[in-house]
Amino acid sequence: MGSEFSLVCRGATIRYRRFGQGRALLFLRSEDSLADAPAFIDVLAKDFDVIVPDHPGFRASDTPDWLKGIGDAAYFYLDFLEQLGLDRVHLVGGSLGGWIAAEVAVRTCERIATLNLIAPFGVRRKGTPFGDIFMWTPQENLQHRLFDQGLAEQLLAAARTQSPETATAYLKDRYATARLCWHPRFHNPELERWLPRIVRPLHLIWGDSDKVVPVGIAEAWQQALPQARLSVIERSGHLPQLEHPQATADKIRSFIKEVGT
Amino acid sequence: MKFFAFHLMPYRHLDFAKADAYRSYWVVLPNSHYDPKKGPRLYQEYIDQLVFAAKVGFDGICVNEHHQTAYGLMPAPNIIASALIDRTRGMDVKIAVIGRALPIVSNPLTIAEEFAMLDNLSDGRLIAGFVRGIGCEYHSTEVNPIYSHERFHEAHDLIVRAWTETGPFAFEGDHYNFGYVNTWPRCVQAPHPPIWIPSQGSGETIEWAAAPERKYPVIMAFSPADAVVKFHGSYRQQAEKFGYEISGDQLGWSTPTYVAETDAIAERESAEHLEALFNNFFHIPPELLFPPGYTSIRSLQAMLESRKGLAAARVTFKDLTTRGNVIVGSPATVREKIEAIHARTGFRIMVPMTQFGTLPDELVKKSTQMFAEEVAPTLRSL
Repeated sequence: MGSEFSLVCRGATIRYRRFGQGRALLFLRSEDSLADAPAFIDVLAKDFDVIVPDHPGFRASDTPDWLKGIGDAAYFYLDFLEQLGLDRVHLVGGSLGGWIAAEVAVRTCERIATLNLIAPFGVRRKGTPFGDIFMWTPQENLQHRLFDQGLAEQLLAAARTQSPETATAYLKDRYATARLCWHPRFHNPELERWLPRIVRPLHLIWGDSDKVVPVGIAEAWQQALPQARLSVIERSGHLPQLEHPQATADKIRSFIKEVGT
Repeated sequence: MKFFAFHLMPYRHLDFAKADAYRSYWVVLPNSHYDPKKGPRLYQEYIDQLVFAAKVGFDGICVNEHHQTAYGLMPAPNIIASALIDRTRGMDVKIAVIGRALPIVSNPLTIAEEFAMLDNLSDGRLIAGFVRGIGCEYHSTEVNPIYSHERFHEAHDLIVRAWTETGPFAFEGDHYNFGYVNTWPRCVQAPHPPIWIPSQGSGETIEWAAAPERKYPVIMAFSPADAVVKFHGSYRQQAEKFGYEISGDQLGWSTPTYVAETDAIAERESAEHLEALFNNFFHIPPELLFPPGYTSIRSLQAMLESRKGLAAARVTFKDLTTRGNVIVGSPATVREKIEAIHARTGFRIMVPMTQFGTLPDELVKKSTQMFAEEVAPTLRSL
């Protein structure tokens, strides 16, 4: 279950949980509240002190006035790393969380050991459009995020009986996502220009059937960062950490072990 | 009471059977469904209808702005307004653009400039409407709906200052920044053209429009009669909170309206066209209509709740008349319906949508004329 904590950053209370023991691993989650991946976190928690924040504006965290765009999220996490005194931390991020991780790293890699980004937003490849999660219905949002439509159906069934609080939390996440991602849609041209400032080992993990951030977009990352490694997870949509928790966590563990910093 | 004929200029030649295959008639309906061979004549027909309304005695004629949709062919309403101004030269008729969508532009000064030009071209006959645009507009422009309210208020302030302060001056905002604001030409009307606020009834809009420094007329659009009454009542209460008594000239009601010889004829002639407006042209899924931030989460939840069960079912003519979404009938019936709402709210700006959905030209003109000659005159003294 992990333990719950909170901290205050510039007037905003931010919630986070910690699982397991070991070197610090900061997991920046996807924007999708239905995409929590407890099994994935459990595997990582065998080797690491896994820290899982609710991003500013999301879930149980406050929506601060200072949160206007993706850069604010990045500066917040620089503060977060400092406040927790985390050093040589392994950054793992999915989708929006992957984008924020990259935005942190181009600002400074000082406190970062490695980066594992799962189907991150943040970088555009012309001709390979992102899926329009804002146009999709809640049902389509699940179906288009997952390869396994049986799992999508299960999650949908669960969502149909969700509490009013969960329904409100879903909307809160969606509003926060729009705040950060609406325009420029899912990317930041400035990040694209400064990607080479990521001077730590970078591992890209992607589902082969991703309809939100198609795997072809990995090429744009690799062009800017030729040393980056790409692992493609088969029979997976946008959330390999949910559809293949063990395989995805194993790839992250072995990458960290191999590059060993 | 004053009367303003309102037009959306829908693409009424649309093949609904084909268009219904898409998520919405907005944003994603391919423009291959627009036939450029039919377009020029349609624009002429619609402009003629508004000029006709002016000639038979309406106090004003109104256009509005929507983007990337068959629902309305006026992404740039000022272009139509300019044509209307020229066609009504010398007439004592207002030209109302209700409205321009402020937050979706990156330079609101162009709106200040264009309205100022229209005010000059019309020699002071312009009414300037300001709106946020509907949710779909945030998909078609990719302006972030989270900042819709902030941008609306800031753009409004900028435009009013551009109209009223001697330039050049600097404008320093969160969303808009200009070192030189110095609008040429200046407006003919002093201090500036009347500002109207069309609304779907949010409390926030009422509070803002009712503020003593604004007192803007709010035009309640596309709502059931009970909602109009409630909304007008809220405006009245808000004015009292601000310490003044509201005038009926601050309250407007815009709704599809059709007049014919008898109630039965009116129903027969208008029903399918009204149903086309509500079921086809206005078919918009919540993701398009309410993008995140366009409303508060609480308002969104209330609206989603009220739409439950409606999504699949087509509304019928009977639904629309029962709820009072539309006014249809003989001159006596239409008079009574307007009087009934007036008795409850005191509103004095009536904005009938004289063409709607697929309503053909001859019926538009017949109804418009009957409204002007057999409905409006007895209501003017209200």
